[in-house]
Amino acid sequence: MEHSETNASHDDVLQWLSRSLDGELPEREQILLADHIDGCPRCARVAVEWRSMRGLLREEAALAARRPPVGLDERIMARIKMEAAPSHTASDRDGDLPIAPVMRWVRRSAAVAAGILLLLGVGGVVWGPQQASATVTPSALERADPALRRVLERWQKGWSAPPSYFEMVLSDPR
Amino acid sequence: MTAPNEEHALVLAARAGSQEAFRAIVERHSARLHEVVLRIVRERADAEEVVQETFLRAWRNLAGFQFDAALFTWLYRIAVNAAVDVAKRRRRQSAVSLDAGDSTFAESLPSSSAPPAAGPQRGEAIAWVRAAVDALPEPFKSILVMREFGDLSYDELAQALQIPKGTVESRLFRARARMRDWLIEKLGAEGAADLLPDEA
Repeated sequence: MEHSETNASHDDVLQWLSRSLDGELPEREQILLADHIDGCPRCARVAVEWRSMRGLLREEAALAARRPPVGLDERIMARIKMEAAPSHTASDRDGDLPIAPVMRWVRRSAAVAAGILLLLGVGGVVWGPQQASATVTPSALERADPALRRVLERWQKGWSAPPSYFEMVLSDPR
Repeated sequence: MTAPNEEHALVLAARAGSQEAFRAIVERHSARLHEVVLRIVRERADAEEVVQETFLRAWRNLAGFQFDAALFTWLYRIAVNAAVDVAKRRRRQSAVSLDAGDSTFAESLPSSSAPPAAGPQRGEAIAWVRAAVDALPEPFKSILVMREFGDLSYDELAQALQIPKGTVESRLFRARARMRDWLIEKLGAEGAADLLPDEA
């Protein structure tokens, strides 16, 4: 059904009513809304009930008066502090992600690779076409990552590792 | 509300690592966010967790915040998305349909929760209207709560929810229509009329 003067349907009028309740209806439509409601008991009833619902919600909101739990801000800031703490590194944050184990492995592998290159440089490595020999200083060995240390100790004993060995060592907790 | 320039400065400082600046942001927005989130999730523990998580995500992602929207609309976007997810999860867990309504309504009856200042009849009316809000499905519930309890304008709602302003208008209209229909379904036309008298 449409209003004869405005050609607005009841739904159009109720959209205006909703916007009017929110203070978002321009003055022209405000006049048309009032005009329609004056002549339409059905929309007038809806207007009364919507205004009442709005009044009740506003009353509840006012009485609730935005009382957040005591100490909420402090608890939020405690989490922020924990997040920002130097010890809370990127690897901790990756704990939220399903790729965390992969990322840990990648970081560890990179560290091992960097360590090997460093130690090889320090020790003066000579690669032959058939075999490798390396000299690693004891202090450098002590500083090395445990997984890297295991590789290097075996390497010092003249053992030559296949490429897959590095992967195996990194996944082996022993 | 924080002045835009002040808020801009706070965001820049927080981005640079200032926890004091971030604390100022938290203090300005936490209560309002909590109010809205609580209306969506209903449980205080859930509401607090959502608000804490919202600020934690905001801290982590401040670098990605664009100044084309107000900070609080950005925070609302994070919070309301999280709150809606929690509400859905809880609903699945409890296997209670909001349309069933009665258990939700029973929890919200005014005996203990209605503000005493409202008086018994007014308190009952508030409880019914609150139950009607609870019975709204998404996306109508969150937008109505943000409007009525967060007091966001249509422009702010459009920004926060990343929807056109016309969609804001139609969702709010539908939310109100559904609430009234729900009350009529539960109370009958006369009962709803008695509950919602002319406030003019």
